[in-house]
Amino acid sequence: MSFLLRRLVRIVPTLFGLSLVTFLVLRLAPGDPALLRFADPTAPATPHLAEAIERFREAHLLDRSLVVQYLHYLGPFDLGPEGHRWFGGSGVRPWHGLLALDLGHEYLRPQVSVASEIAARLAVTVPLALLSALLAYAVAVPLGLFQALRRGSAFDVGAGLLTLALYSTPVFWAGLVLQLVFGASGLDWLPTLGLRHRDAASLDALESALDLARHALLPVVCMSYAALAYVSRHMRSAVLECACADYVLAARAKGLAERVVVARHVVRNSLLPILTLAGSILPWLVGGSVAVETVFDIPGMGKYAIDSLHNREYDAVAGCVLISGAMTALGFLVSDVLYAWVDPRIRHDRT
Amino acid sequence: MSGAAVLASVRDLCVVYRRGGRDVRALRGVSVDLTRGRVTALVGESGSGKSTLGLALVGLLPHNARVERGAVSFEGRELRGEELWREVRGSGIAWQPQDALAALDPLMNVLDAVAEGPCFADGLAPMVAQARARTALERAGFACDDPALLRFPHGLSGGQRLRVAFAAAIAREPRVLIADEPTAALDAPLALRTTALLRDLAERGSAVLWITHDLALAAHAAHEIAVIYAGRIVEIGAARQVVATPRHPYTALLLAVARSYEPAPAATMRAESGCAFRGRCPLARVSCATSEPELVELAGGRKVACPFHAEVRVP
Repeated sequence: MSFLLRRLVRIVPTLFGLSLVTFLVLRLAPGDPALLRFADPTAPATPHLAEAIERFREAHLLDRSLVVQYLHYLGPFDLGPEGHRWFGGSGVRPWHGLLALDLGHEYLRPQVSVASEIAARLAVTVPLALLSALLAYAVAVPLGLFQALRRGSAFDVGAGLLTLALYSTPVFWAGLVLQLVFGASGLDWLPTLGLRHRDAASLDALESALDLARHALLPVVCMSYAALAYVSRHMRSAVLECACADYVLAARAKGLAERVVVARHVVRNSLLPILTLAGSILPWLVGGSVAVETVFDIPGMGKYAIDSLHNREYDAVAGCVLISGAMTALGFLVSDVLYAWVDPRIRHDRT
Repeated sequence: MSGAAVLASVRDLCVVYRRGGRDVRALRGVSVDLTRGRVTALVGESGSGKSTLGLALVGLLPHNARVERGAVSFEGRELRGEELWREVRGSGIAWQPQDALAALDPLMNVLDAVAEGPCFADGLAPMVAQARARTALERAGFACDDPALLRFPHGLSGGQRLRVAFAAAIAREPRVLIADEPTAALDAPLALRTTALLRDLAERGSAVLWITHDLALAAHAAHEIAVIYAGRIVEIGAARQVVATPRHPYTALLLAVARSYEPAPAATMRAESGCAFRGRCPLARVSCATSEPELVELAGGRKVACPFHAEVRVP
């Protein structure tokens, strides 16, 4: 228990570092949210427009120094004109920033809080990522196992080349190819954009589920194939390593059939490192959702990050990065806990 | 030594390893009989082929090894083909591996590991298999309510692990046990306890082949000693006889090393022809280079592969 707490506490400074780096990179990158919002390059500059820009900058503290901006972002005090009284504000909204557990608001839609938007987007992305991880494991574990059991055969070599090719195929390219082949321009089997049909509201429950499944199929395949290749290559080498362990030889010497030896000793032991990969694969999939969701136009977290970046929604981008970072850190923690839970060697070292 | 009491025997076994495109001979015509009620110690240094002989006796030679000549037989039946081996392995001839920690599945507790053979190879019901496992563990020195029985290998002491490996090997009540260096990693009292287990097993009517590099311990605990050098048995006979009056210069060298605790002279390049030991032999002469000496039977049923056995003295 104290082990868990220690690990959780150790995540906090990591996230602070991440927030600082993200903040700096965003501010250093070219582009200005105020100009992006108000400036129209074709229209002549008017005093009215300049004043609006000025007010926008003041409201969002974009005219202050980077230190003040970061402290405002970090919180817990709002340093703006309506902020905490201690910092010269009017006291209408005294609290703001990460330490006040607030990821900020969008510039374009001030009524939308970044946290609630990310939560809504994660509700789309996380199920997709989970499905992709499930699909990847369901295919990769048997594939890697049979490759290793028939080591050096044509099947092993073929599957090895295939997984290598899959692992090195860029996701956006694969997504476009899948759309071309299965979409309206090719076989016309599956929808290629969005997660819902235009008239989804009028469908009954079963049709609606089918519609969702048909829309999700290509994105899930696209999200999972690289993880599939990665896991199956790991599985193959884990099985090969286990297969020459002494306990496998000892199990054969007990007179067990090869099938029993593989099921009871080789598979169980090689699944150990594979299972713990899951903790790092899930955040990897969520991060990879940027490309998949852009190609398939899915309103998930990845799409949100990209759109926010285009619009210089500083708070939204920083929020996406922070949440991904937190998920990655939690993923590693989960994989460590999983390892300790399934491996009696670690269980014993702790007790 | 009546013929009927021989449970397993090896006849003229030659095993070749394929390593880096070259053939390496591990066993060059080894013949041993494993007799009911006897512990036979197979003594030799690293690389002498003793572990290879142990693996050959359960038909589990690695993939790069092949049997060039000779065969293993069990109860008079020559074991050829995986079908026959499957019948005998574990129930007829069992094998206890060298490194007890590496030989126990880290994810399996003691009781499951020992019950595995009876359950999955003999097809016994899980409860019956567990009872068998408890019997085997009791013979290996565990009390039946020992908390260690539910632990995993990493939670056991070195001695416990070894006894678990022993119990797993004898759980199917094999007629023959091959124990590969069970005492290598143990201190003296534990090693003695282990040899007592082997002798106890033999007294119950099994044959035991005990692979070791410790001639002094073998002299103490085994009934018979076979000394192996460079893939050939160079001397074999009753343990006391072999130790009291070694008749092969290599046995004499091993004895001298065991008494003085000085390292043996390093092995030189193995000779291509003639006696393999002649490079280290104090008695070597020109004729040793021409022909490889055969095992010759001396008085008392002892066999020695040295024509100059009468001159052998312990240095």
